[in-house]
Amino acid sequence: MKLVIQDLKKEMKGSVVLDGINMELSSGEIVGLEGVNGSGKTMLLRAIAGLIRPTSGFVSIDGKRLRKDVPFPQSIGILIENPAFLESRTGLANLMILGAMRKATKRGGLDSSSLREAARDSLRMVGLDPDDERKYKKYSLGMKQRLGIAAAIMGFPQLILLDEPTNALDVEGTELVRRLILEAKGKGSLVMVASHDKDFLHGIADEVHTLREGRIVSFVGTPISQGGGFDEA
Amino acid sequence: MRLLLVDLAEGFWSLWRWYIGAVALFAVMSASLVLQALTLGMSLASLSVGDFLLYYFAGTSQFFAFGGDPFRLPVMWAFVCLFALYLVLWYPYRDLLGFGRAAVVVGGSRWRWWFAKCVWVVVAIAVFCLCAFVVASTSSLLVGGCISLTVSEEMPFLLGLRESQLAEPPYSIGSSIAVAFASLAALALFQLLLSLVTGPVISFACSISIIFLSAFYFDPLLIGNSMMLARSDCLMEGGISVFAGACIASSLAGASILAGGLLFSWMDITDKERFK
Repeated sequence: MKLVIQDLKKEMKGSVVLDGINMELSSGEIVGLEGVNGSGKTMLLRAIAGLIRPTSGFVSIDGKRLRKDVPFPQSIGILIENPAFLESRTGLANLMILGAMRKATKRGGLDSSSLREAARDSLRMVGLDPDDERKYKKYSLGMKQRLGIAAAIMGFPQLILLDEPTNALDVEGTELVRRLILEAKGKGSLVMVASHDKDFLHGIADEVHTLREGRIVSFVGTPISQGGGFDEA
Repeated sequence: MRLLLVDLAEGFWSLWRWYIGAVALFAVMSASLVLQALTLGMSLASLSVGDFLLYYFAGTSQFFAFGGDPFRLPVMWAFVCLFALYLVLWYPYRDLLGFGRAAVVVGGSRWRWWFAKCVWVVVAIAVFCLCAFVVASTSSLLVGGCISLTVSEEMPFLLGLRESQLAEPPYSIGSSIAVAFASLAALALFQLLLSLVTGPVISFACSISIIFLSAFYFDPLLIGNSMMLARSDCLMEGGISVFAGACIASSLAGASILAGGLLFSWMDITDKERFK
């Protein structure tokens, strides 16, 4: 999978929230986005997810432009802003519903026989009990965050977007997220992680882009497509 | 289909208290009708299902600004309609801010989400109307009335409808009540469309305005008139015909669904769902 962001610009309510973003990313990469609140990290992830329409420029995946050729990326898992699920259902039920929607549209998702097992695996990977009968509304903040991550990585889609994945997580949870992201990379996913936690990002990402006022102001790391690994700029 | 099934389950799970409230509302109105009938010396056995439904959804006769009579808002009718419109107000909006956002992305289709919400709104309104029908039927049976959609000849006078505007009896409201329900669903779809642009609060304010304007002005294009049985041609001479009401309701519903789908395909989905 090849993701290209070209001259991406977005204006909202008279303000420029993304200003001339350019990126070329490939499968098997971990890309970090760092910056203070309001720097444009979340907005960039929203643009890549197809949730917002660029004012100019474009996002393309394997040559298909989002919002023009396809409405959303074909194979994607997202955790953008606070995770939200169906309160009357268990974590497993929530994951299976999302997985079935992906399957139902034949977007390279999971078949019926493996959907339950994939959902159970995802829950185990994030440290949640697949047999937990508690409804989502009874979950703690940390459990909700873990479920959000489980939903994003379930089946290891080609593109995984994680916005502040370590929110509400303790040290053990953060380490677990780190391992999961590396595992996703190993399975060929392109993982984009937005976080204000510099140590976390620089510990796992192949490249880290720093955003300020909607622009990429610095870049650290060598794109894996060029054969490089993490390196100080 | 999967998304629709989830909506039906989750949407109604969040609404069951409201439906109990709707049943209670109609039950109180039924009791009020019975008391009024007794006061006027009507035979309770003459109260049909149609009588109770008319009581819930009557509204008021056409208002003439220079006719000398002051304008009286049909409060109970307005409350019933706005109760139904408020019932369907929040679920689509909350879904888009929550689980629905992920569902839209992984499901790959904005239109699918929009259609599912439209269907949910229509079904939710249908269940509300079913509550009215069930309570009306139960009330009629309890007082020894008949299961009929024909309205007693005394009912228009009990409701204070203007005698000079009345059509000739018998008053069979079967088709008119169907149009009233369809019009309520159409207005709910229009409210859903507006909520994409303005948010739920302002869209509900617009619904309130439409209800008020409909009570004040007799115009078939003001959809609230089709929601008032007192202004249908089965009760009112020159009232809104079933055909006209059905055309207007279906046009409004169709236009709202199409416009909403196009708008939703275009708009940004952020933390505040505003049209940009």
